[in-house]
Amino acid sequence: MTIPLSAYLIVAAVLFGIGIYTVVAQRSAVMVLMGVEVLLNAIGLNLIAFWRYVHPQDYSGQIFTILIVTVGAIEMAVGLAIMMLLYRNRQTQQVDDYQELKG
Amino acid sequence: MTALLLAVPLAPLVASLLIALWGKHSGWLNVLGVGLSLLALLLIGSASPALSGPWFKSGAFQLTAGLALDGLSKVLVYLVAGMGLLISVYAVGYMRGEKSQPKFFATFSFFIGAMLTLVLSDSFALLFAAWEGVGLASYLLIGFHYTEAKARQAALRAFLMTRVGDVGLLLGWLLALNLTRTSDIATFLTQVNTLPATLLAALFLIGAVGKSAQLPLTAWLPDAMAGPTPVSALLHSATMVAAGVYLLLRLSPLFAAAPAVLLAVAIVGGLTALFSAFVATAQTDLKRVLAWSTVSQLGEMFFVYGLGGPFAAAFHLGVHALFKSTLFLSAGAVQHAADTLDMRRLGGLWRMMPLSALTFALAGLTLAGLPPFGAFWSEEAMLGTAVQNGWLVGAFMLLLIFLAGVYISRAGVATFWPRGENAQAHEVGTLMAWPGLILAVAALFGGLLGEALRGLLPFTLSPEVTLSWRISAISASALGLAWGGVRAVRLGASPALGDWPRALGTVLEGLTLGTARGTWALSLGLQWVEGGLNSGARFTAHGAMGGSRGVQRAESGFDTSGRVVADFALSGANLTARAEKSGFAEGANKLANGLGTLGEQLRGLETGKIYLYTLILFGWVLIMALAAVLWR
Repeated sequence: MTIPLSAYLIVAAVLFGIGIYTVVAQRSAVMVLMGVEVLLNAIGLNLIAFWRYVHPQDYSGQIFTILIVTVGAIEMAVGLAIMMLLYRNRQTQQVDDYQELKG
Repeated sequence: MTALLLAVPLAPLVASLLIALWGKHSGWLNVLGVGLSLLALLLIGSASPALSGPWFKSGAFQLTAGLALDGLSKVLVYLVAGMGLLISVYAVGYMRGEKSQPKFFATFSFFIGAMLTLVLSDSFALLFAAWEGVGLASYLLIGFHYTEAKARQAALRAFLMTRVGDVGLLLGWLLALNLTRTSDIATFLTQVNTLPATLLAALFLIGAVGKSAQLPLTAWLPDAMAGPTPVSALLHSATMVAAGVYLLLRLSPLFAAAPAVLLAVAIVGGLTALFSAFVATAQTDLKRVLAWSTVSQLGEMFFVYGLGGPFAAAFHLGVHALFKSTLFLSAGAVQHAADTLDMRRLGGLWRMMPLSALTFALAGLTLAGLPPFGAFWSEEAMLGTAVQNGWLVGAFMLLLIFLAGVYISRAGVATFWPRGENAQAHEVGTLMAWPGLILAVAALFGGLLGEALRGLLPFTLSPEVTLSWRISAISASALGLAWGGVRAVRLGASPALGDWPRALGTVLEGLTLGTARGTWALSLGLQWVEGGLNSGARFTAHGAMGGSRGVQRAESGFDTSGRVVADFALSGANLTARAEKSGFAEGANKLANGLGTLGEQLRGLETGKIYLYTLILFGWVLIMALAAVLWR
């Protein structure tokens, strides 16, 4: 039984939804970052699925995915570093407590 | 095999590094380093490995660096490593209780390593580097007791005096490099006939004169006595001063092609030998007697080399190294035992220190050149070369032999003969007594060295001497010994040939200083040249300044015309300003106020809630996507 393209897209869409929910609803900065990561991977899954079913002879889809993974790793490192510094300064990691720029 | 060859100079150098880093058991580490070097030599045996590679290339010039163990270097390497080992053992005893031993032994090891590199190197570049290394090490070692002003001065003097000679060597090999495009010595020697041999040989001679303390650069060597005695023993025998003679021997094809320079070598050597032998008869410090004797013996080597007897020079270099280091070792023992080297206060030491006395006697008899002892054979070889050049030259040689007998027997008798009251003196430890005795016995059999050298050296042998010359040599030496001995027994340490040689010493000193002054004057001359260049530069600068003044004047002309333009522009600007103040300012104020109110109202959007921002972002993206779909 071959798995159709739509199955991958549905999984990716579900992942994306979970990601958006995490980013929007979670109060912990670390969880927000994890949500961002889920979002990135949902997009990666989409890309791979489309590459496999639409243009399997063209490797640019794979390359793009590798780029996304790399960017994700770097984003995680930088984001966590910022979180660490913020935590050291404030002893808290709740995003709602960072409100200095509130209008 | 090449690894063994590399080990020969590297073992002491690595030991030096280890001593400097570790700082414990430094004396024995030094012995180990030199011992390994000697062991590597013994393992190489009769083979003659070579190892060479390009060091760096610059344009058409190729500078090589490599080691080669041929006959000549083999003789020297065995000498340096063997005597280095014995003197190192002696130094362990001598330096016991001294402060900053690691410093001493690190430098000592480096000294030996640099000398081994010097005699093994097959390229001028490496030879020069090692040559300077030897100079540096000797500077550090002579100045080891740096808290004493005398030692500091002696070290500085030795360094600077030899530096005068080094300039000659540097110029020589750079010229050779320029002409042959390679720093390889063997290649250079094959091309000697196509080169300006006289100039090159003269330059190299200056280098050798500096290193071997020949006239006029003599005075640093007796001063170098300020260093610890093991240093003197090493410096005066196989390392440092031997480097000059070695350079002559190594480049003998070059010197053979330059007869005028060869004659100069003979004259310099002969004069040095004669004068310093006289000076040695009048010194009262035991070590200074030995130092002047070294200068004299080196002079003899230069002399016979100049007369066309490189074999005799090499032979005597080896034998001299053996007996002279022996003499220094027992002088060091005397210093340890009696706390002084002033022969006027010494005397009667043989009962207290029989081993050292025996050592000194054996080495002294060797120096004098009595028949069964080593130097008899080498001096006979030298005499053979001398006689070949006429009976007058032979007689001169006999005079030198006589003088050597005089000064050494005077020194020995004044130090060890039963007279005086040095009851508190005592025999030195095993470590200090035995190396000297071993060396003395080696010097005793130094005649056998000649047999070994015969196979190793590429030089033709010295001619045999006739029986009458041989008898004259023996009697000259015996007469000298007797004269010196009798004078010393009767008059103690007073000069053996009257007081005038001491004045000669002052003259020699003055000569050295004169050379230094000459060099100084030369450098002052250079300063003068520089001054000339300076004033030229100043002249140019003046010219430039005048030019710039003209430019300035032109500029001030431009200035006036510029001011007119500027006035015009200013009045225009004033008009504009007035217009702005009345018209535009009002409008701008109103605009700013309006923007401010708008901003106040927009502030409410910045809630500080991240989820709201995120939702707005995604909502915006969603709207844009929907719009894009619907638009199509």
